[in-house]
Amino acid sequence: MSNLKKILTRIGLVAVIIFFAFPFVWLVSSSVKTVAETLSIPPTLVPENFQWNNFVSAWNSGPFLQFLINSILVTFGVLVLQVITVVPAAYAFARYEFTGKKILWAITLITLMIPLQLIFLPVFLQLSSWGILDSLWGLILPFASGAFGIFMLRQTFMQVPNEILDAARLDKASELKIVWKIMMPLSKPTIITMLLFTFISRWNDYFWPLVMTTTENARTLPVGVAMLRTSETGVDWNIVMAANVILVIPILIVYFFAQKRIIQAFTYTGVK
Amino acid sequence: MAGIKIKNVSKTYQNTNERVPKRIHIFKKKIKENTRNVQVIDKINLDIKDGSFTVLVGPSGCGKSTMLRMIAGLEDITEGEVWVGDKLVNHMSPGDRNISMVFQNYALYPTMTVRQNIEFSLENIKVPKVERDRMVKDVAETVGLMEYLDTKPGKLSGGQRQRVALARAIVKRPDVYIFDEPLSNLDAKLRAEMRTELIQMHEKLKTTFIYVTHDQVEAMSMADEIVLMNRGEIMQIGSPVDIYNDPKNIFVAQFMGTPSMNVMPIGELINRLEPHFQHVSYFGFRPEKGILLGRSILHSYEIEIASKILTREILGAETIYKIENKYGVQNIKTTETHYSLGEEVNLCLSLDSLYYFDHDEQRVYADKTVLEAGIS
Repeated sequence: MSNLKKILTRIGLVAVIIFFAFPFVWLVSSSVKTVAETLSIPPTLVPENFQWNNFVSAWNSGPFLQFLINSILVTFGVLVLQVITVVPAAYAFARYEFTGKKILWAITLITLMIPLQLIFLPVFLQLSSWGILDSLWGLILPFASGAFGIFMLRQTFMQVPNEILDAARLDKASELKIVWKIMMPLSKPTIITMLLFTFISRWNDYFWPLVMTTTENARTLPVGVAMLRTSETGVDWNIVMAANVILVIPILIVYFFAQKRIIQAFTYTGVK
Repeated sequence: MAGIKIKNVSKTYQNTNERVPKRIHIFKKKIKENTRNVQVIDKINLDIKDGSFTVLVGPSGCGKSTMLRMIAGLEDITEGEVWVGDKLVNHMSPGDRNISMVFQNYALYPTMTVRQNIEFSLENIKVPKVERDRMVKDVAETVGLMEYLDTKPGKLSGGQRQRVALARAIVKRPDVYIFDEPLSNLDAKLRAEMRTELIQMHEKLKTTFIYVTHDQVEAMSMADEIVLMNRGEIMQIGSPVDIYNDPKNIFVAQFMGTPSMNVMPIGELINRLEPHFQHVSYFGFRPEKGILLGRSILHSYEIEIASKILTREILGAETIYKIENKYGVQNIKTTETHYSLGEEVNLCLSLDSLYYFDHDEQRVYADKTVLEAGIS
């Protein structure tokens, strides 16, 4: 019975893996096909001739270097600003009692529940009045802080035993030092996870750069890749897919290195 | 080195802004019943002598840890004054009070090595690196941690972690050491060892030690002076011997000693007290003062009560019997092991081993002459 259960579980797991992995495999496979093969019926999973050249064509079909630089600047700009804003906010919410704390906390959580599409117009008008539309700042500033990060980090900070902070205060450590030398090292997995999520969402973001940018000066990779589809000569799916592969590679690399930390962050049970 | 003076100190938690710590559960009820404010320390006056080993002891929730935290500056003082030496410290931050604290859970910084843990405070007061290294080395040698300096606390045993905590406290050369139940997390054997080490450490450092515990054995064995607390008030202050032999009320009498003092309503024993002692409501005796004798044995004890053995616990050197008689159930500690369950015996007491209390549970002093001789 237990063996049968095991086998069924395995089959179920494999089915789930196929379900989630297939689109990705299809993407990679299509990126090295010829145009004709991408549309052939029946479809092929393994291409007949690997068209490595697709990547070069994709790269050369627009100012991709500029897009890449913009993506990197925007993503890292957001990451740096998030650390600067999220860590102190989470520390304050976790460790201080102050007037209006509950209301501020509620507001922070509410921002998690409001979709971007609902508020993009007022934000757009605001940024427009500041004159930073179609600039990298317009892509960075709206994401300079994040409720999700504050929420996650607050939970982790709350798990640090009070005595450790008491001990640090008796050791004459300043609050900044407590955050920097005690809280942050203890919350490393959470901070890394938070940054990783931010990285993925910023790197892949299509909507915001699409709304905020009008020229190549500030466009990021996802918008650039999407533009390939609207070329007048018809859609070269193999090139679009090749560009997508280029887009996704950095995320895979980062995930590969941070994998252990992410698992830690979700199984973290406190400091012993 | 410095003594500590506590003058009229109260602590009230305003339910609105300050959260009442979980440990103060006894008082939590008050919030719901009448007021939103919770008073956990009620106008306490206490003088802790310079260089003394003072133990604050009491049941959980009695306010002893709150007292300690107020001295350390980790808790605001609602009312009154705390003096460390000749400094009024009410508004001084914890780091400026020159106090070291050792916590029950060690409270080591988990991401730092033992060395970094010890030198963290020195770093914060900007002691030069060379000096720091020397101080860390000295103190690590004292507590026997030299080989673990580059280990992280997670890899150490409970006893070793407590040593790191001690080293961290010592290296600051504070005026006052504060210990908040530091031995509770250790096993019995290690606890006994550490107790001795702490006494020796006090001998050597000759600095003021304030030690909080709920364990009366720790209090008795380590203290120069015991401060026994209950429900936010001091019940009695005195040397261990004083507190044990001369308790001022039933709470103190029953808190100190294992098993605790047998206290019973005075019953017909009152007929033997002089008229001006008629307000006595309870009498008590220490379990080791009760003598069990066979029914038929002749003797000359002033009080003799027919009793029955209920249970017997043989602890090795001594045996604890639970007996029942017309006054209720009592514990008797003796070296005799031969009485069996259900056996009829006489509980024999001499009058000078008795303690008397009034109906407010306060001690009434009566000497032998006020009691008529005779056998009940």
